[in-house]
Formats: sequence, C-alpha cells, structure tokens
Amino acid sequence: MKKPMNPVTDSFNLERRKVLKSGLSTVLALGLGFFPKRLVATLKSQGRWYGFVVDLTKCIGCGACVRACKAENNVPDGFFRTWVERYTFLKDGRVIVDSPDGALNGFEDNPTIPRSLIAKSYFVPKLCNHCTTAPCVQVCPVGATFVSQDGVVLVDYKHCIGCGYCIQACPYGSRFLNPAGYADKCTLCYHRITKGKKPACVLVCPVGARLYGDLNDQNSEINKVLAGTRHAVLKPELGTNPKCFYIGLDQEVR
Amino acid sequence: MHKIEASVLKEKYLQYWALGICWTAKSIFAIRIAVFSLRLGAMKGSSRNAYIFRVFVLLAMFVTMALVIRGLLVPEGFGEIGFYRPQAPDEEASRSPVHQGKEVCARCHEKQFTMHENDVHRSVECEVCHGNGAAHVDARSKSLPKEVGYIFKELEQANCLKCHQRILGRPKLFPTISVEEHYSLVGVKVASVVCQECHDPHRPLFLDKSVREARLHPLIHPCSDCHEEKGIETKKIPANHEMVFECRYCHKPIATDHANRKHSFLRCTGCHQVHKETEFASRIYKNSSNEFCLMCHLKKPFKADAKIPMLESYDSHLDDVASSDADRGKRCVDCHLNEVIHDIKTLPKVSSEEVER
Repeated sequence: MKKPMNPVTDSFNLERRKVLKSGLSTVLALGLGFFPKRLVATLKSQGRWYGFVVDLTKCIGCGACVRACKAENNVPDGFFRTWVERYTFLKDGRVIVDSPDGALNGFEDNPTIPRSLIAKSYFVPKLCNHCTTAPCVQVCPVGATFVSQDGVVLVDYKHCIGCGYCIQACPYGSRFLNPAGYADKCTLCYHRITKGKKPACVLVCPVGARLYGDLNDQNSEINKVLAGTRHAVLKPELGTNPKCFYIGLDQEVR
Repeated sequence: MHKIEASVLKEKYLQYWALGICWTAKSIFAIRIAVFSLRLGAMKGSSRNAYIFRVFVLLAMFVTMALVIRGLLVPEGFGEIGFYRPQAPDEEASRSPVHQGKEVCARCHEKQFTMHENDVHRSVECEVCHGNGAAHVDARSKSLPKEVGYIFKELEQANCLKCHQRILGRPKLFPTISVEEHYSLVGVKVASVVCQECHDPHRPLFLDKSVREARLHPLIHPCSDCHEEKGIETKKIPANHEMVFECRYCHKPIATDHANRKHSFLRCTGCHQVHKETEFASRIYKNSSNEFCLMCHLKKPFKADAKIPMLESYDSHLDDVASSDADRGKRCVDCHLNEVIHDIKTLPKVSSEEVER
C-alpha cells in the first residue's frame, strides 16, 4: 500500500540526514563568518591594553578621586563614575557598608558602631572594572558600548539609545543613565590617557592608592605592582575578566 | 561635556522608533512564514503557484525595506574594527582635560611648588585642595583679567581633616588626629583656630609664622621619606639632624631635671631611642637592665684610666650596699635613676587608650 503524499517533504525530497547536515553547516558557516569579527574586538589586542590597580591598604577615604572625577567628566549630581565605600567587618561576621554621598565629601566617623565589635574596616574605591568580556557590551542592542582596541570600555554617546540594558547587565553597578538620555560610565579618562596624562582620579590620589597602566607592557609600573603583590578582582565567578585589580581585597567585598 | 543638542536628541528618538519598527517587521515576517508553510500544505495546482509567488514578492519587499532601514540606521563605517562606530573612540579622546597637573601650576607658581615639593605632601596635587585649574589656565593663557578663572582657597580645617581626621577605616600607618586631642597636646586653647595658622598650607609639615621654626619629627616624617628616594646619606643620630625636633621641646620637665644631674653630659638619645615611627603615644624604649649601665661602669683592664665610678661586679656592689634580700633583686635604675639621670616622676602620664593606638 502506498503512503499518502506529504506535499512539503516529498516535493523537496528532503531526508532527515540531509536536513541535519545542511542545518549544521549553515550554523557553522554563520558562526565562522560572523562571530569572530565581533569577538576580535573583545580579545586582548597586541597594542596597549589598559588595566587599573586599587591598593586598599593605602586608601584613606578622602574622596579626592570622586571630586576630581566629577569635575573632569562633568558627572551630573547624584551619579558617580567612581565612588568610595567603607567596609566595616564586625567580630560576629557581619559586614557593614556605607558610602555617604559616594564619598564626595569624604567620610565622617561612624560612632554608631561600638569600637569593641569592630574587627577591621577599610575603604574600597569602586569604578568601572573595564572587563575583557564585558556583559554590558554583550547586551547592547545597537553597538553603542564597546571594548576599545586598548581595552577601555567606552560608550558611544551619540549612538546610544538610552535603553538601559547595559546598566542592568553591569554586575558592579558602574553605569548610570545620564539625564541627557544616554548610558554613562567611567572611561578611564580616555581623553587624558590618550594624551599621555593620568586619569583624574589617579592624578589626585594623595596616597597613590590608584594606579593605571598598560598590561601588555611587561615593564610598566602596573605590571611590577601586580607581580609584587597578592591581588584579586571583584566577582571573579561571573567570568567578566575585569582589568581592575584590588590589592588587599576580602572576599566579602562585592 | 557631552551635552546633547536638540537635533541629535531628535535623531536618537527617530532611531529608537525605527528600531522598533524593524523588530516588529521581523516578528511579523516570522509569523508569515509559519502561516505560509501551513497553508501550502493544503493547496494544489495554480493557486499554490500563485500563492508561492505572492509570498516571494512579499519577502522581497521585506528584504528591501529591511536593507533600506538598515542603511539609514547603521552609522557610516560601523563594524570596521569591531561592533561599534569606528569614530567613537576618537570622539571620546578629543575632549580636553580639565585637571592640569602640578607641572602646569609650577610654570607660574614656582615658589609654592618648590615649597610643596620638599614637603611630604608632594604626593598631593595642587588641584586636590584648589580645585581643577581648567578655567584658570585657560584665562591666564589668553591674558584675561585676573577675576576670570580666579582660584581662591579658604583656609579651613575641613581641607586637612578630609585626610587627617581620625575616623573608622583609615589605615593605621597614616597620620590621623582628633582635633581635640591635637589641640590639647600642642596647647591650643581657642577652638576656632584652623590648622593653617600653625602649618604652612604649602608645606604643612613645617610649622609656620610665629610658631617655632619648623623642624621634622621622626614620628610624622619617617626617615625613609627622604633618605630612600632622594639618596641622601643617612645621619645615624636623628638628634644631629638640623631639622629634627629636640626632645626638650616637648619633654621640658624631664630635660630640665636631667640638666641638673650627674649624667647631664649625656644626650637623651644616648639612652633612649627615638619614638617608634608609627606610634603617636610617646612610648620610648630603652633597655634599663643592669647590663646597659655596666657597659660603662664595670671595671675592665682597658678602662683603667676612666674617671667614672667602677664596679668589680654587680654582685660585689650588692654585697656592699644591700641590707636585705629584697634589695638584692633591684636593678641599677631602681636606686640611681632619680639621683644621677632624671626624676622618672616627671614623665607625663599617657592614657592606656593612647598607648593602644
């Protein structure tokens, strides 16, 4: 007995194996032809590859970096490209974090916590981690944020549509929606470092707790510091490969 | 800085809408394909061919529309070096820096700069206290009147205390003060006095004006600040350093007392070490064991001509003077301190809290 005819499969005479084969090869071809181009930009380049170091053992929490960043980049009130947090570890294991106004005016003493309960306390400056595999770059629907060829995560302010996906994607809270209608963030003072000047926060830090430099240059100061200390990054489990390294970091610091 | 003009903003919203239309079209197209395959299965003959033709025409229209919209939306050169507009990094880099750096300040304010460079505060940029110098440098380079871009910094405690106030979280090695404690230590009675009345704002370590001539204190200024970096030869005894505090400036009662004792020819540093660098409280350690006194006062063949009192041995001295067993356990300083060196009772009392810090 003859099988009833299926107009779709019979007319094209497709077999299961052929369908799978052609499908797979199409995916492979697309993958090879399309994705490498996008990935190349995020892979480590041969030229400069900027990184950042924050030495928590040196930071005194004066807030000079926050004020300098505000002035340098005209950051609107209430938003921060960099800010400083104070982590206070209590003897019973609790951790108290405070950051009054992002440390714009430095810190005041916190007498509400009894001194006898405090195990240790230190300041943690935060900024964009300039991740190698930045989640904010991956989610941008229009390609308005990207890792530049020297490893700085930048925003194309003219091209950004202000949808805010990147702000939600950033695990470090380093981005904000500028009231002018675009996502904004730390640029590692791209306009300064490309002219051979230090980023504003690095320039004004009175104790040298902030350091930036070329990770590809084996003789750069940043590489010497990294080679000589034990350092860590924030939230390494997320696989964002941050290029902002912290010296003297506890795992409780998020 | 990145203030967006109205026209650009308008363009942005246009882009936003176009993007929405694009995605709507895409989803409609996907639904159409599903409907197409379903319907095709139920059709026969010429109506089927006509339907296929219609669908392909529709497809061509969609593709053309998508290409046109894409051509309008995607900026020129997009994707050349990565999934972004290749001009964007250069646009960002073209902004002019706001903070000038102390080298720029030094071009005109050489005196203050030199002062500041020789102070431990040289790591503090001018613009940390004075604010950024963009307007100032711009106005001066154009020879505008003095009022334009004028930088004025009020002398106030807050400037110093942003770094030097003793608060929770500051590293222990960083010099911090509580204003009350500091003022009671240095004898400032008026609370409204600001730091800069004693400390020169451009070299705060040096005391200013009517205050006694500036001197370095090993407590505040670790020797390594100068002697490691600048390659200055270390002077072994800090008291010989021309800019170091003399002990008597702070420890006057003891120094006065000491001057009247038999050991007045000895300098303080002969027995005492200087303060430990990291300690604020004046804990001064010196081995007050018998061995230390006996380094001089024990009879040795090579000391035959010495004109100081000599002992055969400490035990023989005890044999001569000890009247009870309790006396035999005493050290040299237990009996001789007040008599020959200085009265230990004149030492100022230090609270236990200060010592802990």
